[in-house]
Amino acid sequence: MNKTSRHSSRASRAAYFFIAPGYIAFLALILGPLLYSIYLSFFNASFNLEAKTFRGLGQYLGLLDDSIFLKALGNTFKYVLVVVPSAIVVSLVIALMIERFGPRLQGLFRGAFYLPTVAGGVILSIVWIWIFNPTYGLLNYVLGAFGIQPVLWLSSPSTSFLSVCVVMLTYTIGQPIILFLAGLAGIQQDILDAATVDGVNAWQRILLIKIPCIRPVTLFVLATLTIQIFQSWETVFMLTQGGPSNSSTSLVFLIYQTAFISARVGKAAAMGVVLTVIIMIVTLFQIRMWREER
Amino acid sequence: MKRNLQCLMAIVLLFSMVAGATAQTKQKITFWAFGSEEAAKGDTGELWRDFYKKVFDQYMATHKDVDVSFAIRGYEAGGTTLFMDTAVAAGTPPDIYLDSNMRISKYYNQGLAADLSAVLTEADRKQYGNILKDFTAPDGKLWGVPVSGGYWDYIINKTLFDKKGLSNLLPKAPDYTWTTEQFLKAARAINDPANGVYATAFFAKSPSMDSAFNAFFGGFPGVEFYDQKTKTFKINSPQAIEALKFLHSLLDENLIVPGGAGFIDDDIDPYWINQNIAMIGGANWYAKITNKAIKEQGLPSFEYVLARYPNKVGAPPTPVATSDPDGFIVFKQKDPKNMPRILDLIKYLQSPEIASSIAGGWSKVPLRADAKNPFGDKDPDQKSWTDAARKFGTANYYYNTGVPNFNEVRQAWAEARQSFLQKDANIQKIMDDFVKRANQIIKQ
Repeated sequence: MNKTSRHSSRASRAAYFFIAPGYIAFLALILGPLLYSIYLSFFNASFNLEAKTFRGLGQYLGLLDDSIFLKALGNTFKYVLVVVPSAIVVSLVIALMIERFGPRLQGLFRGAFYLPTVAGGVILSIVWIWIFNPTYGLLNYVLGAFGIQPVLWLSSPSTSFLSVCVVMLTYTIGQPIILFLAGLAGIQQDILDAATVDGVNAWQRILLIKIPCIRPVTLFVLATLTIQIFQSWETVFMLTQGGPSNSSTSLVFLIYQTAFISARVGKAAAMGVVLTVIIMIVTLFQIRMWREER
Repeated sequence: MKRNLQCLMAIVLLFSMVAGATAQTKQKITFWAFGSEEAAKGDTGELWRDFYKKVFDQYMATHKDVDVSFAIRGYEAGGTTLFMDTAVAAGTPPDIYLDSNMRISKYYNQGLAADLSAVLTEADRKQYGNILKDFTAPDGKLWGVPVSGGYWDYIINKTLFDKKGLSNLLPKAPDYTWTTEQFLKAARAINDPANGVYATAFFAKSPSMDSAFNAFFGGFPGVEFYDQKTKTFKINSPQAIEALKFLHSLLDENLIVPGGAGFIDDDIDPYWINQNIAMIGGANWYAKITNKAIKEQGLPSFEYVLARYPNKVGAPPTPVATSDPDGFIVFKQKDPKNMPRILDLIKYLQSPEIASSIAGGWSKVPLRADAKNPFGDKDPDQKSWTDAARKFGTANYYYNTGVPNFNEVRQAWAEARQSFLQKDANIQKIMDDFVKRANQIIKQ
């Protein structure tokens, strides 16, 4: 072996050595548990895993007869269909408004809108529990000033779902705003100047130039937000516990209830596999859209 | 030099082997108690962790072959214990766990509980009496050892009634019993939402403290939640619907804090201590937080009265509620040789003195008759409930005795109560749906 190949062989070994911890962590903490969950999903199992009994595909077929599972699945899709487009539109509008400001003011607004993202769903939910309080909450106080009767935001099946959506929106718009701002900053100035010369007005500049130019960013935000909302549960847990009467429950919250309250670990694993497959299909579809775009 | 170094290494190696061998003869026992490391005992104010350290240091001083490590794990509202569940799922539960019967029975139902029959002598069993049946398997084996429990009832803010000159509407000493009609009359008179006072409150967002709601059924004869003989749920019977219609009338007349379906018990605490609720069930808890709030937060003090839950006109007074008993569970050991020392530790922990101290910490009473009531006659609240329990009998309004998959049933009951606490609730349909679902759950 000559000096060069000895060196590259040593370099390869060193490289493997450095990436090994990451791979081991991936195998031990992600792939391993994922494969075990898939295995467990075919069993009737509680915490006493030694006593599990094989159920096979019957576990998955049984989910189709479970009205609460179907309700949670439906709600989860509804959360995605309501929150994701709303978050994209709201964050895009805010980004277009902030874009016009100077760097200092932009930085201030970026920080302000990103703060809820940093605080996270749990802390925001605790605050919103009191904003939504039917007797002393800020929201009903404001409505009362306009002569509107108090609304039972979290206690009524007709309003609990939308209340959870509102809270989800508050902490999901921060990151898209940052990304949209970066995308808008990346639009070449000469395109905008040429458009101005051609007599394009401000609205047309936004609709016909800026939004098409940041389409890759929009698709990325769409993909990441979709995955995030599919997996949402902390807001549901804190605000409504999935109630009243499962009107606001989500699939991940139901997985938590099934595993830790009902102690039906096998069934919870099956629900988790179903959710994983759904997210994979949706993500693959979005990636395909992105590739076509490129 | 080299030889000296070799000698030194040999000595160090020998010492390590001896130390290791000595350490191996000590059995490590892990003990977890439900609660919080930072919480203090209700009777003495001593931190729980300091209390348990004293208890185990005393034990280890006379049992040199045992090393006990303990932890006090936090809890989640809603009757779940995430730390424990995670440890059990990972195959690393503690050897001993102390918690309420509702929570430890989950692990017994999964076949994880060791047989503790050898812990109690006949004399011990006589001291515990009937409560042992809540910890006994159908084959007669003991899967848990009870420690503490208590009673609780209905609490009334007497100051609010006095201010409005309505004290004559309240139940009278010494029994403090009243009918549903008298209860409604008092509720209607005191209710004043415009000035921030509601007659009472319900909460149903989670299963937590559902027995405060369930205890109303005790005032309606013939209401049965679960029939242990036929193993079916009966809460959709005509008698139960009558009781539920009475309760729903409180919602229809706006006598309860709005939005109960979205509240847990903790959400109602500020309403009570700020005197926005005139009366509520679950007296044990509300008496405790009242005294604490007045002492620590400087809130205006108020006088409260402990009464019975109202009974239907013509029915006998409502039996006093027993709070869910606490007990020890031992997880099955991989090595059966570990059991004798663990059983010996349980025997020590359930002794009258320690049981009395654990009970006092939770403001409860020890379940052994020969253990001293930590409050004796010094605590008028405890005396009130204990006297009423002796006179009117007791009932377990958690309805968990003998119910398989109880936690899942309890969650379903919370969802049924959430539906019930809507203005347009179809009570019969809600209860029929719950009974159907609960009967399916217990068969799984």
